[in-house]
Amino acid sequence: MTTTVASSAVASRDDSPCGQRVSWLRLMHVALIQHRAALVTIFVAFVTLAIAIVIGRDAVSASYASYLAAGCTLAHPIDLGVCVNAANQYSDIPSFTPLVSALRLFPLVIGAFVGAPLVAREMESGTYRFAWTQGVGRTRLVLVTLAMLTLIVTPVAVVLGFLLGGWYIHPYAVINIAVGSHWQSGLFTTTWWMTPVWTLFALTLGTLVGAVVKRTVASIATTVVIIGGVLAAVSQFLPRILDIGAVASSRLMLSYFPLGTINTVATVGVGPSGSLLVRGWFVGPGGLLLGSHAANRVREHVIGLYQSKSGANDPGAAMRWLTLHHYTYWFTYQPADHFWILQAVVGLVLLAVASLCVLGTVRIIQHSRS
Amino acid sequence: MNVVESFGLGVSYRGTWALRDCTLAVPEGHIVALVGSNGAGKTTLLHCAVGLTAPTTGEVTVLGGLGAGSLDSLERVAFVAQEAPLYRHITVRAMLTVAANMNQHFDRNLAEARLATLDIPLDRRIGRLSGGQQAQLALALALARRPDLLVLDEPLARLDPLARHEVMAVVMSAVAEEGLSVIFSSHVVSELERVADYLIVMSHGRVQMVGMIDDLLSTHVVLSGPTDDAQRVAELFAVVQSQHAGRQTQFVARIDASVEFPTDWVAENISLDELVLAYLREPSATAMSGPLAVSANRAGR
Repeated sequence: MTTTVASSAVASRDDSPCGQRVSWLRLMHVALIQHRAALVTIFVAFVTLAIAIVIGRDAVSASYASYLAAGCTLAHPIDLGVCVNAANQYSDIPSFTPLVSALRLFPLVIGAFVGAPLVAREMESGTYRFAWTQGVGRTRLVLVTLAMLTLIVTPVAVVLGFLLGGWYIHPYAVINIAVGSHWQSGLFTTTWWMTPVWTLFALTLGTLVGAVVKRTVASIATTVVIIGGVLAAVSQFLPRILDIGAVASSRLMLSYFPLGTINTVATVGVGPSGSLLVRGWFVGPGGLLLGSHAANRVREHVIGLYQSKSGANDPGAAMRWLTLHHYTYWFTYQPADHFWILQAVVGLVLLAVASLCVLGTVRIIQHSRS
Repeated sequence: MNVVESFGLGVSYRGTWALRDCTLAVPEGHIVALVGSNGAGKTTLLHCAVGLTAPTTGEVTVLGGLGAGSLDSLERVAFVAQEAPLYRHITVRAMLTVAANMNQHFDRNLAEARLATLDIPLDRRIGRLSGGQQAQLALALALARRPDLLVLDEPLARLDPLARHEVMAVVMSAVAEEGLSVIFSSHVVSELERVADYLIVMSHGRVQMVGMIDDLLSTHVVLSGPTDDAQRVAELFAVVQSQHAGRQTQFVARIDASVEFPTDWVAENISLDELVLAYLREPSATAMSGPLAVSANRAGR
């Protein structure tokens, strides 16, 4: 007998023209019943984090009040010594770092315990043989389930981002000399915008992993490794990411002439106010980039000229020496008003990857074999 | 109309063929028994028919040409998988809601009535139901979809004799009331004749025998006679299986009405049990009536 290549009779799957179909609302109801465990996971994670943030707020508020009472603000640091001490006290609040870390891990929890089991559990328990042979079709079922979970986790993540950002971002922007700012990876990835974006990315990636691995525990473990790796990589490479579209300047002077990755927020008198200083380097005669050894020698020399023996800074001396020897100090920075643009860019990239994960999941389940 | 039609259907898993060159046409209005040994390809064939498995080669359609697995076919074909996988953590009532919301024409009253008849409590978690009750629940959910074709994969496998009887009684009653077609795979050959009227026997991934059970039984006999004459008789009939015991030989053979039985040989009617076993023991033997219909249909396209 002659065999033929599998034809469209089956390949069309559930894409054929159809009449009246089951409504999305009814399918949402199905998803709610099927995925109660996932909803409980979301609820528990939300309540735990929300309570922790509310409790932590009191400590932050008290410390911030004492900082302001000392007359310390970003624009008017009346006594740098007092302000640094107050800022250090603020940074020592134990609740803050764990809270930011917990909020950064929220997407990972959702990806691992909500996304990964979504398809994997159906495959492992065999219930896909029930679900995928019902009138609704497997593609719509998975898409509606993902949509339902998206509708739930998105506002939850937005609220968590607001809770953290509303209480912490402003104080940090004021006293960022000592303890960093929302440009740093911890707060950069936990804004009201990035928290839901990361959560959706993790949810869809976990779902894709589950569709590939088809085993619940293995999917959860794989998702944890992948998302944890992505989070760590983004944290590690955020300064490089933030160099994209940064403004380069050779006219402004930084008192300590930092080289390589700076990743520090500019303050009064040190770069454009509120901006993130990203990267610095020296250019020598002929416009050649100086290597690290030569650059460090130049740097040490001009720092000595900049910080005169009398104690008063003398940028002019440093500038004159640099000009005389045909050296130029360059640095890049992200202006303060670029913050939300970069948030949008990074977020849209993550959402694009999330969309690809959804497409990949659909493709896998459409071609999945029992 | 054929409820299932396949042509050159083949499914390969990592280079191993679970199903190969499967060409058949199953007419509507029958209860079809799909029989074969373990690994014969029964489940693969059924999964192809309901769209769970995509063929590697060939094609399969249901209900007169609908693509297997298409939304149109899913609305009209109900499937109960092996071991009746259902959501064990939810109640029977919630499961009814799930099924009702996944199908446009789900008859919840019908399902609840069947479950009430079977004394299956709606508030019990599915994981706490017995194997028989879970099978009955899966069947009730499938029938409440009011399908044109009901596909059951080993519905009797885990059940005790009483539960088997009850499940098949429900199927028979649904067929009588709704007029639907049923295809079910089974190992329990002894119960087939009472339930099914159409038979498909599979072996080693290939379809070995297809046809109405009455036709198959009337065209096969058990022939007994002298071994000395066996060679000559074997050339007269299509021998499915032969057994030699000293000077006596016994054939299971497919007969042709135009050929008369040898005078010194005894022909006896064959039981369905014997017929199926004879074919399963001889995988190279075939008796196919269905494929002719498929070929004719395709030639006309």
